[in-house]
Amino acid sequence: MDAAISLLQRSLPMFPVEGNYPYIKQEEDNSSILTLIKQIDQLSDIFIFNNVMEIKRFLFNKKEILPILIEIYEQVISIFDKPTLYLDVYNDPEEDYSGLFIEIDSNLPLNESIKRLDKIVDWFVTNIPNEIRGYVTVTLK
Amino acid sequence: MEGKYKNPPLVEALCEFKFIPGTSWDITIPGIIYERIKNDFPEKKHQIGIGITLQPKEKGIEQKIEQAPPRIQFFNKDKTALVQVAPDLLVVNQLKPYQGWNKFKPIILKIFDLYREIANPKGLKRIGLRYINIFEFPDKIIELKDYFRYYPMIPETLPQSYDSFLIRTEFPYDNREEVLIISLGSIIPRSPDISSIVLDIDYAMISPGHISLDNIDIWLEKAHRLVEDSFEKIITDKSRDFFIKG
Repeated sequence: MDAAISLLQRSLPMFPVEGNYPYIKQEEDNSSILTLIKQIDQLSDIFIFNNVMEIKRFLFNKKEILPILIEIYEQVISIFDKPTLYLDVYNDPEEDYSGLFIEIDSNLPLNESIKRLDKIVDWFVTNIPNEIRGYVTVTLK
Repeated sequence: MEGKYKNPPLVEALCEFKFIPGTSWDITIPGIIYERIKNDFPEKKHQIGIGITLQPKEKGIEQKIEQAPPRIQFFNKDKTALVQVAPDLLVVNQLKPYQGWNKFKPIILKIFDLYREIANPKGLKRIGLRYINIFEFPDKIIELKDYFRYYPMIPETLPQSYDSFLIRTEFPYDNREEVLIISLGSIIPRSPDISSIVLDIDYAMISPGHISLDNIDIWLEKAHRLVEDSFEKIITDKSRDFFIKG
């Protein structure tokens, strides 16, 4: 995918499966606002949220990242062998900065993990827009 | 719900139509609709449905991401309103700022008539008029009964403090051909210092063919009256004051 593709062209995914947040239990929702919340909730099916509320709040305020997280997930699982993916939010109040960390946990030896992470980083730099790369980091756990 | 409050909690009003198809779905329909509404809804977005499913495999559970039927969304310039079209589905959504029923209803009817002309559906499987309100309170802890007359009743023998919750009630109307669905629940707050509660009021015709394609206008009026009336019956005076004062 071309890095120049704008965020607007990236469509938000819809998740027909149920989430674990109580309100968002309906199979299909045509509300744009509640669909967004459902999508955030259901990302926890593929990522482990290190601090659930903080991550949900972060994603709620940066909704443009949701489809990109799915792309990153698909990329990581195609390169690593059965990884576990974690999400974490890093806050630096002094710099007024909040960032999202995607941490990859795998059983591979460290050297091999680093080699594969390099591939992810190359893909990330080529395919993910600058404004997203400014606050998303992919790393090894 | 609209026009009465300085700081109304309404974040989205939507009208959903699910149709009984006249013929099989023609993939050119969304494009034809877009051509007719692009002056008001110029921004197109294809929402590719992706579902995460868990599948049992020999080596354990495997996550699979698969595509669901796509839908096309047409947004107005400032992204405060959209029209969604998918096979036998039409949704008209109005986000903040809501300009009132007198402005929203004509848009619904215009889009509905257009869809009807282009897609030629046989009838209506379901219609829903839904108002979604998000109440944001500047406290981490709130006493629900101060603001709502509809809330979970917790026996005294259980802890009286809880984090997330959901109550949903379906009230049958019109010999069970229609239903009023009221849901109240907690939702992710925008910031850590506030509490957010969503009040979702949906009035729907659920019996296929119960309302004819020609009677939408009358049905919408009835649905809107019931939704608005329910909202006023659910919130307390304290809640009313809160949103009047802003």
